[in-house]
Amino acid sequence: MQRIPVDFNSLMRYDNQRIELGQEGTWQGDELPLLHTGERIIVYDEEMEVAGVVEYDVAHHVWLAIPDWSTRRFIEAIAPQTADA
Amino acid sequence: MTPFAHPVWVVRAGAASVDYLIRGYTEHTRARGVFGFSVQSAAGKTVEELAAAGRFPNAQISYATLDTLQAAVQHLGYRVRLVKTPGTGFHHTLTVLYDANGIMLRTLPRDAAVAISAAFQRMPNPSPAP
Repeated sequence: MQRIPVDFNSLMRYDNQRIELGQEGTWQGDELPLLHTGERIIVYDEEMEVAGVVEYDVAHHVWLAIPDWSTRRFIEAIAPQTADA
Repeated sequence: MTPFAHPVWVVRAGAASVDYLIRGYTEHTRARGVFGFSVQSAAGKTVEELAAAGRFPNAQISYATLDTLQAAVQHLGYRVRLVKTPGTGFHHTLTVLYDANGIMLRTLPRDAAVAISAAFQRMPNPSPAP
């Protein structure tokens, strides 16, 4: 699977359902590899990664990923804080 | 005490490292003409409340006051501005402007990103999601 760096904060712009990969015509979009709708990819930042399915927003010319949170993996040893921690 | 006596906190998921601040600085697709990176912010809300509202998936969060971020970029000739934009919780877009003419930057310069990244503090995410 192709691996693509993302800013997970972009989730907030899409009701926490999608992650922005890049918009065509921007440097983020221009550096994306060739993608196909429905393709499974890995998106990551400096501390975690998760598998996702590629989607294309035709109206805004933006590549997105729908994350599968069951695949989330923390790259660094930063343990999430539990409710009773 | 008035609400304005409290700091205005700005909270992000993750480590707010330089490269990811630059990467996340884009035009909001549902607020055309607003360029910046996504944050949670609201006057009177604590860092913990903002982190919970953002439903961040990351293991850590980054936080700073708006005044701290402003001070960090001011000597470089920039200023920051929070713009309320569509999104989860108390979503805002943090934009960076040239201080001299007030023009909003369409990409985040590395010197500004370095200063902003250094101004953020980090802590474990108190409300990791989903």
